[in-house]
Amino acid sequence: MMKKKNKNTGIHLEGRIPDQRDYTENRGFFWFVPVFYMILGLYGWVRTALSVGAVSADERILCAAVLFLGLWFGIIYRAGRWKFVLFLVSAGAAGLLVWKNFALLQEGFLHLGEAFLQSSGADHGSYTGWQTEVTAAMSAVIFLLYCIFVGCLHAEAGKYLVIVCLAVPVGAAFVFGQVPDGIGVFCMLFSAIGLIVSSADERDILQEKSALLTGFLCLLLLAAGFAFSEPVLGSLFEQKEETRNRILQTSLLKEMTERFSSWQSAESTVASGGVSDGTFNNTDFFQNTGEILFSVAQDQKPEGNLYLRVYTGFQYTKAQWTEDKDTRFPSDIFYERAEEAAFVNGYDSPVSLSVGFPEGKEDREHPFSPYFSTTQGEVDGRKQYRFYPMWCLGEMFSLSGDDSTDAYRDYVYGKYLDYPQKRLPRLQEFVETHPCSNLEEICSTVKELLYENASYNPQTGRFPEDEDFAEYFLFEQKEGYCVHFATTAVLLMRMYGIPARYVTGFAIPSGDFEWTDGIGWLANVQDGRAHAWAEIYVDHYGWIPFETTPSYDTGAALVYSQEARKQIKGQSLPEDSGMDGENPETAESDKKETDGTGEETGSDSGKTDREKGNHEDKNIVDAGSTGIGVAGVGLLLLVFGMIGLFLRREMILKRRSRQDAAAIFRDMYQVLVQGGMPEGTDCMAGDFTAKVTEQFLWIDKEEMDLVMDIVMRANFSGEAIGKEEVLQVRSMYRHICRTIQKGMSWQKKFYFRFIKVYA
Amino acid sequence: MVRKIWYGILILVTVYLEIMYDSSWLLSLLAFELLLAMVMFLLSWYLRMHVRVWLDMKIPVAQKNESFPLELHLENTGHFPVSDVHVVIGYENKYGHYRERRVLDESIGSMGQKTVMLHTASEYCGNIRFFLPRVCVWDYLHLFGRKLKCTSTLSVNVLPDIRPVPVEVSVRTRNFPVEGDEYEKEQSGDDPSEIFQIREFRPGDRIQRVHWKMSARMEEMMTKEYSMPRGCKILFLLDGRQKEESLEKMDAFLASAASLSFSMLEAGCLHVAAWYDDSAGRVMRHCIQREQDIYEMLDFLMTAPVYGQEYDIRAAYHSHYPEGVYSTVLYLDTEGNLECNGERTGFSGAGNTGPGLSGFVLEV
Repeated sequence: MMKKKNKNTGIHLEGRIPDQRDYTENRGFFWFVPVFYMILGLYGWVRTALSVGAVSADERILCAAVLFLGLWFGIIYRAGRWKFVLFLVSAGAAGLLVWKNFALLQEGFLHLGEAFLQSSGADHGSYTGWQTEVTAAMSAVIFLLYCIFVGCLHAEAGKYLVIVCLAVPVGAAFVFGQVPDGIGVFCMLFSAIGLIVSSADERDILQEKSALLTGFLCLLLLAAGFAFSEPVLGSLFEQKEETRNRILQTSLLKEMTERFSSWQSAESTVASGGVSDGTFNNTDFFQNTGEILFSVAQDQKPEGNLYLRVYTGFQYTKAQWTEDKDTRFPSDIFYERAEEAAFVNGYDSPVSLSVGFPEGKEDREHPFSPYFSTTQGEVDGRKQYRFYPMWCLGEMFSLSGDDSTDAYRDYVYGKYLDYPQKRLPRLQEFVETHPCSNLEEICSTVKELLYENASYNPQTGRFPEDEDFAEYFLFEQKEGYCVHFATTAVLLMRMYGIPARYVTGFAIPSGDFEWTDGIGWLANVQDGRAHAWAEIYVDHYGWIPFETTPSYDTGAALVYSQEARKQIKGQSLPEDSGMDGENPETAESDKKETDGTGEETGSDSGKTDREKGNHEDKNIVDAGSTGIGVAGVGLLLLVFGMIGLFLRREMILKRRSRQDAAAIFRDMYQVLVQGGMPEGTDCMAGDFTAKVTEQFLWIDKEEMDLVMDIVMRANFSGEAIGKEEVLQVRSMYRHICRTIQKGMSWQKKFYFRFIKVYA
Repeated sequence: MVRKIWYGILILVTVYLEIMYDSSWLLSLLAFELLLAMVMFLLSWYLRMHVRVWLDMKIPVAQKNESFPLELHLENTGHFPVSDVHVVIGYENKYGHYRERRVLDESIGSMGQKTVMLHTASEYCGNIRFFLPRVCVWDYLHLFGRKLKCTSTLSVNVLPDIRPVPVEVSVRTRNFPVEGDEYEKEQSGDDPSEIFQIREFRPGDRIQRVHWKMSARMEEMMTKEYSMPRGCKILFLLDGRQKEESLEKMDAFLASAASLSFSMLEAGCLHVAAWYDDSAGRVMRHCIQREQDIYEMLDFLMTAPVYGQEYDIRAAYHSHYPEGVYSTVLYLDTEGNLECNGERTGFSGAGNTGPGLSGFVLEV
């Protein structure tokens, strides 16, 4: 194919002399080569589609349909001028069959769709039944695909569209987590290779020969591949299970984001990482790679879980717990009270705790504070705290309140009882139908509800964004991890009138600590210790953790005062209440915490879904069913569009065949303009023929002169132009159309043939 | 390159799928893809070794604005057909600074030959060079291309249109004595070595020239006329210096040179054409006695390399050929200036657009 460029040398190197041999050579068997590959590809397509959908269909009928329809459309593809007629006949016959068996086809498509949807879910079982209907529907799909393929194969770029269509079921299979049928895949691969090598140019025999040769070569290579794959490549994939697990545990997006962030700024990735983020479906939250984020050292032997708070969320929105940054109240209120209580209990010295970060992961923005603690600044880059462990605060309720605690209480009750009523009807209903009289009962009721309705699953996927997070977790999904349990617990406690907050941080079990000389009790905290829990406010006690995640709850009793047990919404606490009991293992302790500003912040926690779970499958199914529908409509539109174009083209060509010499010349002029003749060239000028033959060297001057003579007589003289002369003009017109088309790109050729319909 | 990238992506995807899924055939598929790429690579080398491409033209001379066929020959001595040979044909007119390219994609059968005829025409005369800057053979999947070394070049002389110009030959030029082996057929002279004709005696004829024998035979006085030697009486200096690269000017220069030379020849004025050849470093000359000589002169002129430096061709000619004596010295340069014996004439150049030859009469 010649390509023209701008001429600056005055040299015209025009197209090759049309090779008459190309038109007349007997192509023999080779015309069938692209048809053969088309049939092979569609056979593979059918096999793969059936294996993906796991439907029951009559394979013999489908194979016969692929073969005979393929042969028929192959004939249409090579039928030349009879293409349209044969296509119309086929479309008519197909339409008649569809009309007669419409109900059958409808059922078949419905069941096909259901089968695909089912296969996209976790259950990849076989969809049996409705064999006749499914076979009929698949046959209709085969017919449609052939219509498209035959149309596409007329253009070089159309081959690639065919290949993409063929690859759809393979892609769908892998997306649904299945391995497609091997024979089907290989058939489609061979088809793709054959179509790539063969040519859309009907005259190009050598391309067809090369395509055939390539197919034969591929067969040999495939045999060699089967023979040598295991001994040669098998050793490379011995570790594939391990590699697969690593891939599943790695989020590419996260890796790229982290690398991009580290390139962008000099600041290191902070230790808190995904914990300091309040959004739901946060893929950064739940990591378990074993990476050490920071170290904790304390001077006393740890008892029970050590909760370090990083992020506190107070307002529940659709997407997150917004962060609580209210700093109106000093954070040491309840530390001072704890100090008094510990002293009363004979506990003299608080625990000194330091939190240190690896180089490059310093986190100065977030606190890593235990309950009932006070900050002591930083020493050698380590955050220093003092805190009183909850087990030593037994008599704390005996202490009377003071103005600051009273003011704080009012603040807490004004701020930490809000929840979106309209979005949580079922939780609301539960609370209304399960009234409780005291805090202990509330806590146990909430726990019971959570444990009975949901199970712990660290691999829970993303929730739909149009559903409420907590209600979906408890009543639909029924499984989740700490983020889900903590969120729902906070909301339930608020509904019961107990101020509650959502907290994320790290829960370090005592077993992680080891005695290290010179340092004390040291724990290297890994990313797997990230945790989310609920905090509840107990009057004069403060904020204490309320553990509701099954894998973390030790079953210890809630530690609170007698009066706190009676604390319900609207009631005030009596003074001098004592502690009911102490349990060093309890996860709840009275802790007051002053927050930052009154701004609402939400904490959100999300979990990376490393394996495709049911929820992702559901999302895929939703997307898949929509995609199938859109693709189906698009396919139909394409087919009807093509039919319409063909119809229009034939009508115009038929009209053109009845034109007189003058009308033919008008079209000829337009075609010459398409071929590059300057528009506005005066065809009446005496040198018109010379100009035309100068520009289009393949036009014979004498013939052109003759044609112009006929055209001039047709236009200006009264004499009738004979049929033979009209034929002569038409013949020149066709010659010009054929030759000019050869130099066109496929888009221009499509425009030339189907939009302008010149030839 | 695009296909290589896609193929690489295909292999990576297959590797990924093999890791992520348990199947019996994914490994075989990967092996097949790798083998196929290797085979295509080897095939590209094989095809490269067995394909030859060259340019040819039966008669490398053409007329301006007239089509002439250029032949592109492709030969495949291998056992596999070649589905795609990507040929880039470059061409340029020596007098212009543009090069153009045309791209051809051809296929050749196994153990076969193919000739592609290309219509070519030039709007300007001059020496056109065709060459093959790039020929690439691709495998069937178009993954690997191998370049062929093609040094095949073709030079074609495109001759200018000759427009005859009326020539007035002065008496001086007509009677200018020259030495030569041939004699004028239309005119008598004074060279006694050749008799022009024998005619009746007229008053004024010299007695020494009476042909006594013929007179006795004819019984009247007959006299001899001697012949005039036929030689180059005019020197036509062609200053082909290109002050700027201009196809139009060179085209006009060559057309003027050819037209004037032809016209002088038609008028019976043999002349010597001279030009500077930069490759030889001196002035070359060619005697124009027949029409064939004009084309030879044009051939030499178009073959001579283009030069842009100042060169006094008059002085150079006289120093190189001091024996030359001419009745008229014509000088033509690429700006269209024509001087006759040092005086400017009203000529303003021939060529595609110049009406310089119409209405012009050359006086020599």
